Amino acid sequence: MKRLIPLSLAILLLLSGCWDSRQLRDITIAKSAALDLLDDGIYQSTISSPVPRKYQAEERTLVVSGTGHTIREARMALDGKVSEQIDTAKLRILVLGEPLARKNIFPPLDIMYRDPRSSLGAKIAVFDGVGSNLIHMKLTDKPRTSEFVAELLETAESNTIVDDINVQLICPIMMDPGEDMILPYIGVDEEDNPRLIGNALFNGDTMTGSLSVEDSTLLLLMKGKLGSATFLTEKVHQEEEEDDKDNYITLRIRDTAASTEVTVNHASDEVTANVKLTMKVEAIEYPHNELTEKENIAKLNTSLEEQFTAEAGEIFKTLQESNCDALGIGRRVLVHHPDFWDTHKWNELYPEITIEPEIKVEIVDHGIIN
Amino acid sequence: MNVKMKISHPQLFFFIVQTQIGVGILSLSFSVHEEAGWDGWMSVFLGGIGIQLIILLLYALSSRYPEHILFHAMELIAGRLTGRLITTAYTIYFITVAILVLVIYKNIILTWLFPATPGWVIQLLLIISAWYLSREKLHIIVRFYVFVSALFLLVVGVLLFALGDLNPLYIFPIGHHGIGPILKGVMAAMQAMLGFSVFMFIFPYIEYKKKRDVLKTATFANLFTTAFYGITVLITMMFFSPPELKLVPQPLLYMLKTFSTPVIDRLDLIFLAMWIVSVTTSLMTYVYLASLSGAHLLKGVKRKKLTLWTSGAIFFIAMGPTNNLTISKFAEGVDYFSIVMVIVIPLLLYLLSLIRGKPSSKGGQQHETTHSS
Repeated sequence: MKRLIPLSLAILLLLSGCWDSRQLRDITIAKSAALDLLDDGIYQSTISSPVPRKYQAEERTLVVSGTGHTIREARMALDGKVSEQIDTAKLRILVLGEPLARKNIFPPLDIMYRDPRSSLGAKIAVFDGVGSNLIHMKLTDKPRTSEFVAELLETAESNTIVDDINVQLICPIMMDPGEDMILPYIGVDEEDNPRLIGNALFNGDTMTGSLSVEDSTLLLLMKGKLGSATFLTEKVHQEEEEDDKDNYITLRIRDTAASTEVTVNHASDEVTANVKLTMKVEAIEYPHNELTEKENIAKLNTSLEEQFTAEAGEIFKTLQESNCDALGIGRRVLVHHPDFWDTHKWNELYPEITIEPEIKVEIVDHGIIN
Repeated sequence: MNVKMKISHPQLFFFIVQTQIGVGILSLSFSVHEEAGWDGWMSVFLGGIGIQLIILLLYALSSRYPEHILFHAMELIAGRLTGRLITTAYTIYFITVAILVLVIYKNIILTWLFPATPGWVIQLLLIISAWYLSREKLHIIVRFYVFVSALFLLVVGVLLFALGDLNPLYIFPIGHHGIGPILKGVMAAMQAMLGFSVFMFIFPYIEYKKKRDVLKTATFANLFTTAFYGITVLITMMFFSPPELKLVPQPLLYMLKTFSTPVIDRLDLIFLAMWIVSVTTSLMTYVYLASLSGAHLLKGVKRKKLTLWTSGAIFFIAMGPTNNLTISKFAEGVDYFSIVMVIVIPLLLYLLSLIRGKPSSKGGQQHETTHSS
């Protein structure tokens, strides 16, 4: 008897099954999903799921959409369209249609944050148009849109065009009153193929504008981000017009140091932000071929600095017009001048503040020729 | 009593630390943030200082009667009847804390890991393992605690994942909330650190050259726990912006959910599954203490047998509360109970023992009390 009890207990534990098992044959795995807001204020959820097919190398995908007043209702409508239960735990890409992004994105994302099984590590992007269109696209070189978009974004991350973010990492920024997020912005080119067209600017959880690819890189550099393969191309010679191609230089950004300092003038209620960026660059393409002399390099540095500073000024203008505090200037005001923060509404103040760029460029290398 | 049955100082260290660190770490930054906002991390460190003061008091009390377990010393100090009443209160207290730990962890496992598994199964598995070890003698229990302390490295390891995504600006301006809320946060922090008091109940089972060494070990254990909790809270607070932290009751898990590695897709689930061990050690300590104090009350009943009864009671009572609001009310009640049992009663006993003067210890009783380990 004394031995029987522990033995039977052990058998009970070891031989019983699981309540929480999820068999692959019972679920449809959603690899990419799109959320849209239709004209009549109804959410549409679209998912794409790989369909394994026996003895055939070519992969198929299943794309279905469902609509509802909440995302969950839309998901339920989806469930009615596929034979198995839809599982989003392996979601890789979440696409937000622009009409939805322009409204507010937190309510539809709520279910992602609340569900313990959801995939918070999914990449998130805004699509210029109805998001389901991106999911429906048939691509020639990739079997699945989820893979294509994920790789597109990963490359863009290493090129410092978009920030390395996912569904969870944007959340602290989205909720922080002192900083606004920017999300990858995907559009279509002439041949109806998806391509990255920059970043969508947000104010809180509402999309308010967009930034081009070139400007995105400079903005991210000023935020202190740097991918492994970051390039910038600038026009450095204006005067010679016979061959325009000679006028450009392409730089590879080796190393950067970025800082943002904020001063508050309490008497006049003026906020000035000083955004500093020092870049160590390598000239990787420069047909002009005059990098032998020190003066030329110094001249080039200065000329690049002027260009970048002017460009940064334009970026800040765009940001302020969209009321998107991507640099987190408000957070710095809150940190260093809490009294000022408490008595002012940052959202109203931000478009009026002065942001001064200060960019230093140092060409440290120029490949194996001069 | 065999010297080998006594526990060494490193073992004492891990006994205290494993009792303290458990389910609390998962939600600590949320609960201090609720009170003190982004200054909550200071509350944790201040809580460590507060606990040090209490440790001094508990040491002063228990070291006055180094040969007796505290429940016996109480009878010497306050008289037989009062002493027994206080011991009964302690037994109830230990059982209550064990119930709370069980209920909270069951709930976390249900929401995060196994939504379809019945709660009582999870409870049963946890309480069986707690019962199985706590029926052994103390030196066997602590050996297990030392062994599983390697799991603390796991926490350090998973925290490293977050380092790249921290924003230090989220914890500034320092001291913005003022001293009142920070002190309220201290209360919340100390709740997660409960368990530092265990050394006073097992004082005669500790092997020491000088009595002061026990204080030293308790202090080191407190330092370790405070630093461990403090760093965890700092990192989670820099990961979540203040408005988001308000929405996330288990910040550590939530943070881990964000990251995936090539091998492990969901770090939070793996962490939660492994962390069960650290939570169970807290549970074991309380089952052990409950049976220890119970065995002192019921002369002639073997402590080993009592663990089964206490475990059973804990299991059945813990099935009651399932509503989140009920549980947080219950937790609040346990907080106040803790203040009484860990601060007020030891203080009164200490003062009383000072007034009465030190009684001479009797060898016969010493033998009787230490035997029950």
